[in-house]
Amino acid sequence: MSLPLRVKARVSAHGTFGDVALRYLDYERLLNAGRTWSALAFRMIVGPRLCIAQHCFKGLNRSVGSDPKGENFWIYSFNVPYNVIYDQGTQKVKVIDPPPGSVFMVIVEPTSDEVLSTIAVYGWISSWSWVLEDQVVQGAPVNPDTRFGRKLWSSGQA
Amino acid sequence: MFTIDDSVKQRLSSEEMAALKDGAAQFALDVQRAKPFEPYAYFDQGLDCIRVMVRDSSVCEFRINEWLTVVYDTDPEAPPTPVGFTLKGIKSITSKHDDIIQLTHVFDALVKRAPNEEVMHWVFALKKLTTQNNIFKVALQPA
Repeated sequence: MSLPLRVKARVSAHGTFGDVALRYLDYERLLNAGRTWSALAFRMIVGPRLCIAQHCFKGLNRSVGSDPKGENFWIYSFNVPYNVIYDQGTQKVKVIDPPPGSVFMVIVEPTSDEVLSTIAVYGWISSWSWVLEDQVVQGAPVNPDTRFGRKLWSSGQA
Repeated sequence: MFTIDDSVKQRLSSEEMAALKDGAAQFALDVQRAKPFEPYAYFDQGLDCIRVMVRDSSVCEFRINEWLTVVYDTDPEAPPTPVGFTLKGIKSITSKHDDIIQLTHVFDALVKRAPNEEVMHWVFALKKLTTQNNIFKVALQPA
């Protein structure tokens, strides 16, 4: 069995840290689809920086399957002092300035108690990308009050 | 293996530089398994959305409303047109027996959900994008 790709993250409002993870097959699907930037951003942004996320929200405030509010998701966000790109021609990674006015957002689906007790993974990483930053709440996606269900915590709040 | 712009280097600690080096080393192994990119549309079961991407690039997502997000290349020199988009709330407009959904059906549902000028503008632009890239339908069941 191929192991999930684990990433350290804050997993409670009390300041507990634990592992969230990307399923191995989901990562392989990215590579099979030729989505090199997504793979690169996972390795060089999500991996090293999720543990210092500035905000975590709960709920996507939109319909997800039978859940009209998409409650069962954590949304982490944080500023990153760089961006990464992969030059297919030279096959080299470049670390460049981040896109202006943007923050990085990672969506995680919390695992069941059974998964947590079996493999100690608090959540499955579902998605990651740059998004527009809010003008008022530094480090948060634009309009966090309407975009997400509620805020779980911000850095500096234990 | 990787280069860092001077402007970025000044902002990073030695620990951050080491973490980037590790990430780049892992990616260098991973990318050997990567296949060539082709424009695609797929149904993300977990997040209940259809994702369309026509270029493999660093992207920034712009949320238009709860049903639509548009994706742009972060490269300031890239053309100012979207490189992808996400259509959300797909399960509520399909039956669990459906194997495939036509994108036109999802666009129609979007217009019904949010009948305004902005959405009409996006539907027109995104239909053009999908047509140019021969993307017309999406499989709803895992292959």
